[in-house]
Order: sequence, then structure tokens, then C-alpha cells
Amino acid sequence: MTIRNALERPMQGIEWILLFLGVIAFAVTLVAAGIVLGRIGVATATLLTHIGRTLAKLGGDLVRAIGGLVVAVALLPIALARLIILKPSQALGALASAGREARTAALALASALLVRPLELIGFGALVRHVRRRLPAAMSAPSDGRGSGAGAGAEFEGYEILRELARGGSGARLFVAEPDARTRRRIGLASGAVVIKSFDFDDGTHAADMVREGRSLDAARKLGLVLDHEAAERRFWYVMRYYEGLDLGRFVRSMHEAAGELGAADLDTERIVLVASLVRDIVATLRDWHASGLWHKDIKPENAIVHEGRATLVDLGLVTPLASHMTLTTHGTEYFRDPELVRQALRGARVSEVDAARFDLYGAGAVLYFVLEGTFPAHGVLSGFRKQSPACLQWIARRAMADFDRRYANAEEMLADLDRALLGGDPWAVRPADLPSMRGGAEESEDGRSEEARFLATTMRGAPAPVAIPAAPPDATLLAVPRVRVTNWWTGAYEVVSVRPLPAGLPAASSRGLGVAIAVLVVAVLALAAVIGYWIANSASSGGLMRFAL
Amino acid sequence: MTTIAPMHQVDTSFLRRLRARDERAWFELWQAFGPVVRGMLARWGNGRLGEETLRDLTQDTLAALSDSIERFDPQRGVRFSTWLLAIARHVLGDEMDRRYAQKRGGGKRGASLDDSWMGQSREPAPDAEYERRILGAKIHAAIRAAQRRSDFVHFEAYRMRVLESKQGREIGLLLGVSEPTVTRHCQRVREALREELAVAIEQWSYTDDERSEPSRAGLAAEDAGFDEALGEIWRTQEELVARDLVERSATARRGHDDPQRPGKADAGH
Repeated sequence: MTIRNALERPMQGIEWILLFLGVIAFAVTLVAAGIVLGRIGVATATLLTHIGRTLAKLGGDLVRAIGGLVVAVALLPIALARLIILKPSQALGALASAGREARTAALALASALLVRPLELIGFGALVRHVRRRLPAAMSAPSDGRGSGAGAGAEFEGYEILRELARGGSGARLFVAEPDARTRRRIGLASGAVVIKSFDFDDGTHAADMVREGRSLDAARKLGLVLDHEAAERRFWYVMRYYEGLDLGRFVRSMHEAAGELGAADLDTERIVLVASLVRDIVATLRDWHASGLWHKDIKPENAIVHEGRATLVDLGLVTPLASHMTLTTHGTEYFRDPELVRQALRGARVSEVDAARFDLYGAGAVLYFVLEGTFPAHGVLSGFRKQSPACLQWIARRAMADFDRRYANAEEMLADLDRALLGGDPWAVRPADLPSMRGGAEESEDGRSEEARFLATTMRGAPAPVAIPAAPPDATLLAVPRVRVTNWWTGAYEVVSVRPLPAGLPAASSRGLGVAIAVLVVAVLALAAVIGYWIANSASSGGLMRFAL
Repeated sequence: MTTIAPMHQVDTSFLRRLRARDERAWFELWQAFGPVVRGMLARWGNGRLGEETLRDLTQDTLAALSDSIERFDPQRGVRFSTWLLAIARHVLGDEMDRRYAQKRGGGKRGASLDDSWMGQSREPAPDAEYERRILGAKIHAAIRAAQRRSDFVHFEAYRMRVLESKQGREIGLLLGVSEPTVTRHCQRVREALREELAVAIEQWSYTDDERSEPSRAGLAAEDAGFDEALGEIWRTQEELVARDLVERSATARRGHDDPQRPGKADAGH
């Protein structure tokens, strides 16, 4: 059969279908291949960046090592000269400096030869873990009474794992593992505990013990104390230990990561996450205040992010709301209410003021901090420099407002936060939609919500707002996850929840690559099958030439 | 045209409270000028002063200011800003002398703040940025005072208009109120601001030149001009404070405590 004959033969029905399928498969192959190549490109760039940074650090280590060595060597003749002119103390000083420089050089060299290569091949987490834990383990005091990292203290039923840095109260803090019998007794199925120990032999003062006794009482009231024991010269108590980053470090890392990706602002998912962590703090405050307690030192460093939740720690300044003690100005700058200082300077007693509102100021300052990555240097007048939802900015300001104008209690603030976070898109919520504004907003008009939501979202270029049910906020809904398609071509998706559970820092999803590769393979196979069938079919009927043409 | 009320008789109530060691007046002073003084000291310290030291020196400066108010002679025609700067320099110089003396193993060299500091400083005159910071601090104090006496929603409406340049309709949508209501809210806050501004300027200005600074900055204008000028100063002041924090963070990373990680303080003043 000639080519002319083949061309003149009309295409059969099955061939039309095959042609159509072939074109579809070809198009899908092209798109999937593009996505895979793009992802590979990003991965390559990330890898090269990692290599570049590690090499830069390696170079820095080498420079430090050489510099330290040079200085150490240079100091030796100086020490000798001082010795000659009969200035032994100065000679010793120079020798000590030389020793320090030599140590710096040795550490830098060890880092260059051991740490950086390990980081280069992906063992950075291991190196960081060892670097963080080893010095603490080595510096744990030992007097022969105990064993392991927590040597120096013994607590019956607990195995000390390590000692933490001392807090401001003078207490020693130990991370420990209860034995099986103790676990049954204290009702803790899993996880470690932290033991806070006050011992006159460890340098604890009576004043520290008295103050801490108040905290212990508070912690017991809240059911936070699992176990305790008091003896003549010491007392200790046990609380659950939460392994994790403090909120300050967590949020700073998150903002730094966003900055490294070229985005000055957090994305919606991360904003929801950090705001949810503040919600946890406010919920805890509600319970504390209901129990008649004032935390008094709300700040990011006093909340631990553990399994996607923030847990309030540090009971060092906890005070009963009904206390007749005079107010003191203890607290942390920028997170402490200026009104607290004014009232303390007036000589007011705790019971004379609604001290729970001082905690709310701290919670507002923490909300500002998580959205901005820095503290509110001007209090309630602090401006928001980064993009964040108007309703969350409103809540932060309302909490930091003048004493009589802020939230009356944690419950009110919590209701506003729940409303802002409900549905996972705080951009779609106006300040006017917050429960605390109902009744306060004059001339509210029905039917404006949709327009306002549209305005609020288009101002920032956010995705289309989700529908918000008119029903009152239900905190249990916050845990309901929803699925968001991230790439319609590949079908990549990710589970979005108001409460994602970050294992460390939340990172961008990489599930799209697997889906893209799967789609690419399927598309290539389909294309190959179509072409194979066509070739076989055409060869037998003479249609091969048509295809070839 | 609305202007700032002339109050050339010094409002002495605040100064009287300072002299009477009224701690709350002292705290107001700290709130108003603490950040500016701390920023200047940090710059002069050139990275050698840690955050705690800066806080202490700022406290010393304001304490010296409070003490020497007794001896201040308005007839000399010295600007408040110049006087504050001279005291800050004196406090820093004293600290440097003390450190130097300690390093040499001796005691602290005697130093006293006498009247020669009252405008007789041999140091270069305060630069324009410093004057801007002081004016900004006065205006910020006025904003804080106006905020305290205003309704929360009213003040937020005004902030959205002035700082975020939002239109009345947009603010109304966000707050669930009509546009005329937003206008009324803003007007109330503006009136409070004009009054508080007059008080703050008079309280912390010792010369006619200082008193006329707000007018020169556009704050004597009609509503729209007033808002524009105020927003500009407000934003600039925030940026200056933010820049101070960044600089101090960089200093902290070189070995001092980090201002981005504020530590516990027994007292904020």
C-alpha cells in the first residue's frame, strides 16, 4: 500500500477516540512533567542553598580557628615580656587570654572538621540536639548521691533525666521519668514530669520558699500538681513536663522563616495557628481567673508549644486575686500593663483592683507579638506593620486598651478569638462581627456582612472568603479539619485545620510532588498504550504510514 | 481655622507633682521620654552599653531631670530638648568616668550636675533628628492621653483613618456603623487630641520656638491637614523607635542582653 492510499483511507471511529486520548495524555504528560521539573528545580535550589550556607559556616569556622590561633600565639611573647618585667599577674592574664583564644580556635576547628560535614549530609538536627543537651548533661552537679544527668538530687519513684536551667525563684528544676508504680499513683500514663525542688542546702532562701508555697497552692488548686513532698530542709513538687519550644522562639522562627522565603507577612494558615496558640493561653487564663488566681507574668516565653497547643507555664508570680498584699511591679517590660505600674505606685492592694485584667493586657500583647514577631513597644498605640486580619488586630488592641475599656474578662476575649478563628479564615471577619461589638456598634445594618467580608478580603488579595455560619461560635468546631486543594492540575491537597499539629516548625506541604509524579507516570503509560495500540492497529491495516506522516 | 490654644503660662501642676515625688507623674515622664532618651544613650554608647545599663542610665537621666527641675530657670531661654540632652550626656559621661575609674582600680570620680549644664554645654547642638524625636515624644504623649479619655471604638475609627488611611465608608463597614457616625467619632477624638496636644506641648516646652513647633509641623491646620500632619509624625515616631530596637538587637547579638527578649523587671521606671 502506498502512502497516498493510506492517506486516502478515512479514519475509523476507534482511531478518533485513540487520537483524542493520545492528545489528552500528551497534554497531561507535559503539565505533570513541568510540575515535576519545577519541584526538582526548587529542591535543587534548596540543596544548593544548604550547601552554600554550610560552606559559608565552614569558612567562618576556619577563619575563627586561624584567628584564634594567631592571637593565642601572639599573646605568648606578650606574657613572656610581662614576666620579664616582673609583672606576673599581667603575664598570667595574658596567658589566660591565650588559653581562651586557643580554646576558641580548637572549638572552631572541631566544628569545621566534624559538625559542618555532618550538617552538610543532613544530620543538622542530630548535631543541634547533641550541642543543646551535652553541655547541660556535663554541667549537672554531682555530689555522689544521685546518678545520671540529674545527679545531686533524688526523688523516690522518679528517675532524673536531666536538670534544667534554674529559674528566678532559686529552685532547681529536673526533668524526670516516673517509675511504673509512681505513674499509677499520680495517674500519668505517659510522658515525663518536671520536678521543682527547693532545698536550703542548694541555696534556696526562706523568702523564695514562702513565695513558691503560694504558687504551689495555686498549682494544686488548678490540678497541675501531680505529686509533692515536704521535708525539714526542702520541698518539691511534680508537674507534667511539656517538651517543646517556648512561644517566643516558636513565633520568631516562624517570622524568620517567612522572611527567608521572601514574605514579610505570615500566611493565613500560620496566622490562624499562632492566633490559636494565643487562644489556648486565654482559655487557660479564663480557668485560672475562675479559680481566683492571677498569673501576673503573661509573655511568650512563659508558654510552651507542645503538640500544637500552648501551655502556660511558670507559676513563679501567681497571686490570688483576693490577696490583701500591696501590688508590686513585678512582670516583664512590654507585656506588663502600664496600669499595673500606676496602681502599684499608688499603693493599691491586689484585692482592690480587678487584677485579672492585667493578665488580659499581657494576652493582648502576646497576640500582638505573634502577629508582628516583635513586642508592642508603644502598648496599645503600637502599630501593626505586617499584614494581619483586622479582627485579630482589633482583639489585640482591645485587650491592651485602657484598663476600663479593655475586655472585662477572659471569657469575652475568648469569645472574640473563637469568632475570629471559626472557619479558619480570619480575613473574612470584621471587628463588627465580634461578639464584644454586639450592642456597641451603632447603626449596624443587616446585609452588610457580605460586602464587608468582600472588602476585607479584596483589600489584601486573599482567597475568596468562606461562608460563615450565623450560629454562635462553637469552640468544638475549631478542631474540625477541612481539605484545601493546592493544585488543581495535579490534585495536590493538604488538610487545613484551625489547629494543625506542628512537629517543630510548620513547613510547606510537599505532598504535591508525589501526586505529580504519579500523574506523570500514569499519563506516560496511557500515552504509550495509545501509541502502541495505534501502531499495532495501523501496521495491520496499513494505517501506519498515516501515523508516520 | 482651629489652632492650638496658647498656654504660655507654664502649666505647673505636672512639674509640681514631679517635685513632690509623685511616682505616677514620674511614670508619665518615663512613658513620654524614656524611649527617646534610651535611643540617644544607645547611639552614644556605640554598642558598648547593654540593655540593662541603658535602662538604668535612662532612669538616671529622668531622675536627674526631675531633680533639677527645682533649679531650672525659664529666663535663660533654654529649650527643654537641649536641657534633657545635656542631662543625658552628663549621666552617660558620669557612667563612663565610673567605668574608667573602676578599670584603673580607683573609686568613682566625683561629678555633679550644676547649673552650667543649663544650656552651656560645649557639646554640639542637638541634631534635627533628635528634635524630631522630642517633638514626636510630646505628640505621642498627647495621643496617649487622648486615647485614654476617648471611647475605644471612636479612637480606633480615628486611628484607621489617620494611620491606615482608610476611607470613612470602609471604616464604617469594618465597624458596622454608618459613614456619618465614623465622621462624628473622628471629630470627637480630634478635639480631644487638640486639647491634649496643647497641654503636652506647653508642659514640655520652655521657649517660644518650641511652642511653635507643632504649628510648623502642620498641627494648627484644619481637620484634614491636622490628621495628615499627625499621622505623619505618629508613623515617623514609630519607625524611629522600631529602628532603635533593631539597632539595640544588633548590639545585643554582639554580647549584651537582647531587647527583643525583654527580661523580668521589678519596676518599669
